[in-house]
Amino acid sequence: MGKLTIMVVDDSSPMREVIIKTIKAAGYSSDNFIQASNGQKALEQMQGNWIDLLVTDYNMPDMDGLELIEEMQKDEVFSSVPVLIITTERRDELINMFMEKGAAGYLKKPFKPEDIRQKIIEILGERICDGNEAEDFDEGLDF
Amino acid sequence: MEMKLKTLMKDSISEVLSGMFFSPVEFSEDFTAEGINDFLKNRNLVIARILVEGESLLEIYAAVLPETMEELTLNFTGKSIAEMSDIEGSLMEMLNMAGGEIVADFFESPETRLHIPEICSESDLLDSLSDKNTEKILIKCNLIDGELLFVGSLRKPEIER
Repeated sequence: MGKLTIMVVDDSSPMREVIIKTIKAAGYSSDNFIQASNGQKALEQMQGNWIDLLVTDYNMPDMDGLELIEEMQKDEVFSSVPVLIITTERRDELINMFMEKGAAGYLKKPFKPEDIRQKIIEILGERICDGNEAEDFDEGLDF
Repeated sequence: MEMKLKTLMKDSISEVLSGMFFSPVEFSEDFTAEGINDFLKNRNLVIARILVEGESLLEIYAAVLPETMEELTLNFTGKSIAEMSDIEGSLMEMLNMAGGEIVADFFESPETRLHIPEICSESDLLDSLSDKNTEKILIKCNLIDGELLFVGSLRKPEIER
């Protein structure tokens, strides 16, 4: 299995850093990361880039995470990219809507680092770790 | 209702600070409106706010000294001082996460909207504090590296009439 390309979409640059750091600490340290600050910019960045996993916030200016999923579903290629929503929202009706629109998973902020690893494994399967195993996962987080 | 909101705010602030900013927090139980002026006096604070719009209107402000926010940002992002990223962005994300918890636990309307946080001025905070049509929730947090002030300003529909 080659390296994964993971796109992280959040209007908060510190939060994008935290998500990427957490994903790297979860065993994906050699993978490629692409960042975008809202849904519109994410769609632009996706042109010409194959994305294995898209991790997105919900509440963003210009185009939110739900609108991003809706736009992706209209495209034959983008609709096959799994989407993990990481958001402060935890109302059931909204989470149900994320899943109905095509999200592959949902994670609440604030999150525990191990939750991200678990969600990625649920979505992509065990095929993805690059050698950093779960036992040194916590030690890898140098917050 | 204000007591419920204050408890929810404390719980969410505590969860966010301990879980994402790796900072234990103690609340000043005796902090009152009179303490606000001392907190604000002659200090170049970083201030952010977030609006929650549901069956009531809630504005939450957070105010902190830049050096305290730098320490919190280092904890949050895990970066070194040389790589220090945006402290205002970290404060806004703190408010966003705390606000999300409050939306779920305090507001009942499914149409409740958590707005995007923004940086604001001290005069915005003072204007909110002087608004007589809102209930105020004041929470001062004592951290290892300083203090953090949260102000909730709740405008209920019946007060608006």
